[in-house]
Amino acid sequence: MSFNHNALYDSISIAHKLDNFLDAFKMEEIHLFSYFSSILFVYEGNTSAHWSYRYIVNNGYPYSSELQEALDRDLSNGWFEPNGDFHRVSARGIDELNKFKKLDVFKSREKYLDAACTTSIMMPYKETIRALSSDVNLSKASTINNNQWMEYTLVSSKFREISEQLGVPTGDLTIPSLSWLQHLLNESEDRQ
Amino acid sequence: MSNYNYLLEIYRAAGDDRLLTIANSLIKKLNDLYRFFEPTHFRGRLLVFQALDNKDIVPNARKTKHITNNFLLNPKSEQIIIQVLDDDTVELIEDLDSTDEIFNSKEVVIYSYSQSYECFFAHNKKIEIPRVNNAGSMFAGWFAELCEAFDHYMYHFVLHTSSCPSLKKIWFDKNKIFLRGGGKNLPEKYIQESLEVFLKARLRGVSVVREYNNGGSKPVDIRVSWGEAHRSALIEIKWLGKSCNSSGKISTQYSSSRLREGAAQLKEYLDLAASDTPEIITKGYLIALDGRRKGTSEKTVDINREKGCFYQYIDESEQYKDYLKNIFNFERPYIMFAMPIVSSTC
Repeated sequence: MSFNHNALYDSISIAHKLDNFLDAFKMEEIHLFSYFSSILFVYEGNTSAHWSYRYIVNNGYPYSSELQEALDRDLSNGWFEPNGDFHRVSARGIDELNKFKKLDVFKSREKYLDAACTTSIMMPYKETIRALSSDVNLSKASTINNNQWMEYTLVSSKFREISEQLGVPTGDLTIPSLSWLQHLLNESEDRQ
Repeated sequence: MSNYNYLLEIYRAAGDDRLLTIANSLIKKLNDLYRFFEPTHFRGRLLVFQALDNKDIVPNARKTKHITNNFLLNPKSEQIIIQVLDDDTVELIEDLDSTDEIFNSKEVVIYSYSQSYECFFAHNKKIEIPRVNNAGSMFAGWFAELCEAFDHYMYHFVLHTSSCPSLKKIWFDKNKIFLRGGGKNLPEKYIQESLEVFLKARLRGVSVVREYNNGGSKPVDIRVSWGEAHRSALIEIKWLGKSCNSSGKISTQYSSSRLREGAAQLKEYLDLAASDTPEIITKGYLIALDGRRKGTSEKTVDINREKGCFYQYIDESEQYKDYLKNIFNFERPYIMFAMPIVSSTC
């Protein structure tokens, strides 16, 4: 399998944001926020193929093998360091990220990663995780033990519908992100 | 159901994309500021605002620029007003007679905190932020996460039979009537071990140290510290009940008065922390594993529910209420009752 440079960039960028906001991260959280970023990417009118990697559902969480390969590389390069059951980005990792950030090819991805990860401080973090992991698309795929690629048609149309109903400003991604999480929390509450 | 969509409400109140950008920036800055400020220790009002183009909203006030946020660690004033600037620095605003100019400005987004209530203002419209249990602010969740961790530990590890290998070692008998004693620091050291492993796995960004030496009469059982958030929690562990040595003799017996001893020790640690590490925001927690049973003797091998669970719901706050009331960072103790294995035939 050829190496996916977008996945590598996303892995270190998301890790750094979560590390900054939350002081440490877990690997499955990188997959989760990467998937959330890809939803925002499609919401803005891009095709999922242009995100450049795909996800299946593994143990109720979105999972990308390209992203995992990138995370493994981050660890073996010493860009991440263990912190108990969590990880942190090392000084070397931050240096590498700063080099990546200068490359135009990755700049367009930043706004999706930033909007997705910023939700982790805009509400109690456990609510962010509860919302994202209560997405019915994840639980459906888990229930039928489906290793098919996750599909965006339903989630992106629902995302767009909610954003239009609320009158979110165009060009902004943080409000749609929060609105989506609020919607997922409300849905989860209704199901109980 | 809490509504976290306050950013949308700010946008609706402001009707201006530029103020939305400022609100985003302000929220990120709050995440930084709260690393140096503990809302539950503050009785006054905190106002943090950001203005379009760094506009000087209150030109007649005294302003002090700060590149770091250390000035928030031990606030002296009952009103703290901060302007966030575009370069990520802040200005502390003092000698302000009235905040009307700030609230009336249409070029600012304001965050306000007072007495565990927080909200935003945009174009003089208030936008509420949902309250968070155990935390003064949604942006200062470190101690709240610790409390949730204690709750989880209490219900899933202590109350019922737990798979935790350390906690299994604290019992002398299979029915969990007596604790294991007869040795140095038994059974406390196993409770410490268990809680240490649990907290390290549960909490992010922490250092968890057992037997932390802070210069007191004895070391602190466990110290949890969040280096990036300038916070620490000092945990004193006690157990209640009867312990047996290897010969089956009752070696030690602790009643509820042990809680008072634990509270006094915790106060000593908090006093030392206040003088030795004033730059660290510290809270004290008394954790007591309650293994008391009613009417047991060395001959007791099984127990019914009435005697086994006699102490489960007894209120022991009399032992520590003065400390809770008078010491601002002495937090609500966790008395964690451990259920015995009860017999229906005795």
